Amino acid sequence: MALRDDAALLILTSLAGGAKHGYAMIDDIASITGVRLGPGTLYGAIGRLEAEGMIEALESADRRRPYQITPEGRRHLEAEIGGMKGLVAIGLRRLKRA
Amino acid sequence: MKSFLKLYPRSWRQRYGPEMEVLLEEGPGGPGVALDLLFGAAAAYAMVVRSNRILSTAGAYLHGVCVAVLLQAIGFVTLVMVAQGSPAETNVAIGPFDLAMVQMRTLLRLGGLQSYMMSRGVSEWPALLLLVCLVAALALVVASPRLLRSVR
Repeated sequence: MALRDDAALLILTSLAGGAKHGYAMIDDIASITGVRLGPGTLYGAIGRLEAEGMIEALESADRRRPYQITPEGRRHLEAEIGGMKGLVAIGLRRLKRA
Repeated sequence: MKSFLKLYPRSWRQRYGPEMEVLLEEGPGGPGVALDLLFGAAAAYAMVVRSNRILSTAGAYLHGVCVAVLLQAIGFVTLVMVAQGSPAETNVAIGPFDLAMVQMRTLLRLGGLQSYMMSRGVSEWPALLLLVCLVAALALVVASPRLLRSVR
């Protein structure tokens, strides 16, 4: 199952660094990319990732529930990043040639 | 801003509502966040419908009914326009083949829209406008599943 959008990829990247709740994910993603995800976008992607078994919610007494990446999510993230590395390498090579 | 959460499906609100409320209490508001929540609600409904077999089947059925009704309306308006333009012809045969022929003739006429309008005058503008609206609605309905999938 391929990752369908950037928000899902950003969330998986953020969770690869450790379990986080929604607000911490938004801050982390903003510090990495400068993009601040809205709550609708964030929880839309969290819902899809959770349904696809790529992330899972952890128990919490608080209203803020943390999420962690699953082995399945880690595999998909590795595959996506692997594909991107190839794309970046080709892009840079072609830019140098032009 | 929290009132926007009422637009989400109930099952979604039960699962993610409290977490989203915290985010909305702590984060900045504004029209951008409101728009994000609106798109999020549409995507949440699409996800709930897709994950429920009965709702998914009902949605597909409703989609088919909408397409059929719009096609019939387009056919009807086209037929009326053609009948108005041909006062000598009083016998109107209705059937899939006749409808296709009428639509093809009208489309060929619309190819030269300017000369067509000049020759027919402006009295048919309302009917043409209605036809354009119906075609636009049909395009929107046909594209809606893909549009909903693309909403994040």
